[in-house]
Formats: sequence, C-alpha cells, structure tokens
Amino acid sequence: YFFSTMYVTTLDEFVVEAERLFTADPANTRYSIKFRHCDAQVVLKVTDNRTVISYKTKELSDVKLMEKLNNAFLHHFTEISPEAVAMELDERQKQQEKQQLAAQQKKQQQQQAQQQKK
Amino acid sequence: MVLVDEPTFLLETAKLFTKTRQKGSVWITIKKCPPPVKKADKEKPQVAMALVRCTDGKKTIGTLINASNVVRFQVQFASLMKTNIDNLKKMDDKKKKDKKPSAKPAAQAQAPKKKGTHKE
Repeated sequence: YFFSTMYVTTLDEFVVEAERLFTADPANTRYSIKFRHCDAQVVLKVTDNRTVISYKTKELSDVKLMEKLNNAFLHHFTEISPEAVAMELDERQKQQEKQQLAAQQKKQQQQQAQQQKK
Repeated sequence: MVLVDEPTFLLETAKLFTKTRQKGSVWITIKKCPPPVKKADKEKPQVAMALVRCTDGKKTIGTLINASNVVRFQVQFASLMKTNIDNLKKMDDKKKKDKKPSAKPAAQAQAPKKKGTHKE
C-alpha cells in the first residue's frame, strides 16, 4: 500500500477533505482524535486506508469546532436511510390494515350471532 | 478490543484521560459500523451503527452507538471532551493571520503557466 499523508493547515480544508473521503467510501473511512495533555495538542485525522488527512492544533477555538465535528460524524453514522423509514411506514400501514380487517370480521361475527339469536 | 456498553465506555474513557494527564496520549476513533447481518434479516433495512473506540496505545475499549443512543451519547461525549481538553491556548489574531490554506501554493504555481499561453 502507498500511504500519502496530507497535513492541512486550516480546519475548513480538513472538513472539506473529510467530507470528500466519507462520501466516496463510507464503509472504510474513519475519524480519529488524538489528545496529548502534556503537549496540549489535538490531532484530528481522517483516513480511508489509502489517503490520510491530518490537522494539528493547540488552539481552544479549534476544540469547539471539533466538538461540532464529533456530533456531526456521530449523527451521520447513525442516520436512518430514507429507504428504511419508508419500509417501516409500510410495515405500520400493513399492521393497521390487518387490525382494521380483524375488527371488521369481529363485527360481522357479532352481527351473525345476533341474527341467529333472533 | 473490549466492547462495552455506553455508560461503561464513558466511564473508562474518563479514566483514560485522567491517567494520561501527565504523560501519554488518548486516541478516540469514530467509524461507521456495519451491523451483523443474519440471513433471515437480509430483506429488512440495515440499522446504521457507529463504533466509537478509545485507547491509550495499550488498552482499547469500544462501544456501539445507534440512532436511539446518539443524542444522549453526543451530549455526554461532548461534556467529557470539554472537561478533559482544558489546557489548550487561545491564539492571538496576529498568529492566525500567518495561517494560509495549503491549496494556495498550488494555485500560485499554475498562474505563471497561464501567462505563458496568453503570450503565444
């Protein structure tokens, strides 16, 4: 394997490149945070096992942005696809229809029972 | 790697942060985790899961997060980071101006080439 590491100098660039890698290969792309308290340094890294994008920082403002990034990644990875939502809605509709049918059948049976009593 | 549940993961990560305060690093990795596929469930849509791992270079712990956990985990994870990543400096504006995006040198290299074609 040939690994090419790219150190970016701005966080905006990091976000753009990270997005590019994630959309291209969501299954193999991962996001990494390395924190050294003794150096007071944070390194953000995104890789798809072919290229690596890395961003080093010692700034507090970048940490705040990093928190937003973390939330965004977590949300993105656990997002339910529209297909899944559609399938769930279909299943619920089917269940409702079944229940309605069952209710109708019960009514018919009750009516028949009343007629028989007469 | 040890897979644990969400609250244990947060506890252990907090411990790792305090352990590496004077010396050492903490790595946290987040990736999309394909859920285990059973043959019977292939027709059903897959629930997306995130794998969050934490290591100090020796021991690794991880936890799986899905849509029902996300919001709670995001909040607790963010507070964990805030309390532990506390010694970074606030940079002066002068130092910020020195930072240029790394794409600029590539653009400057292309510019003289263009001038050459115009002259022809």
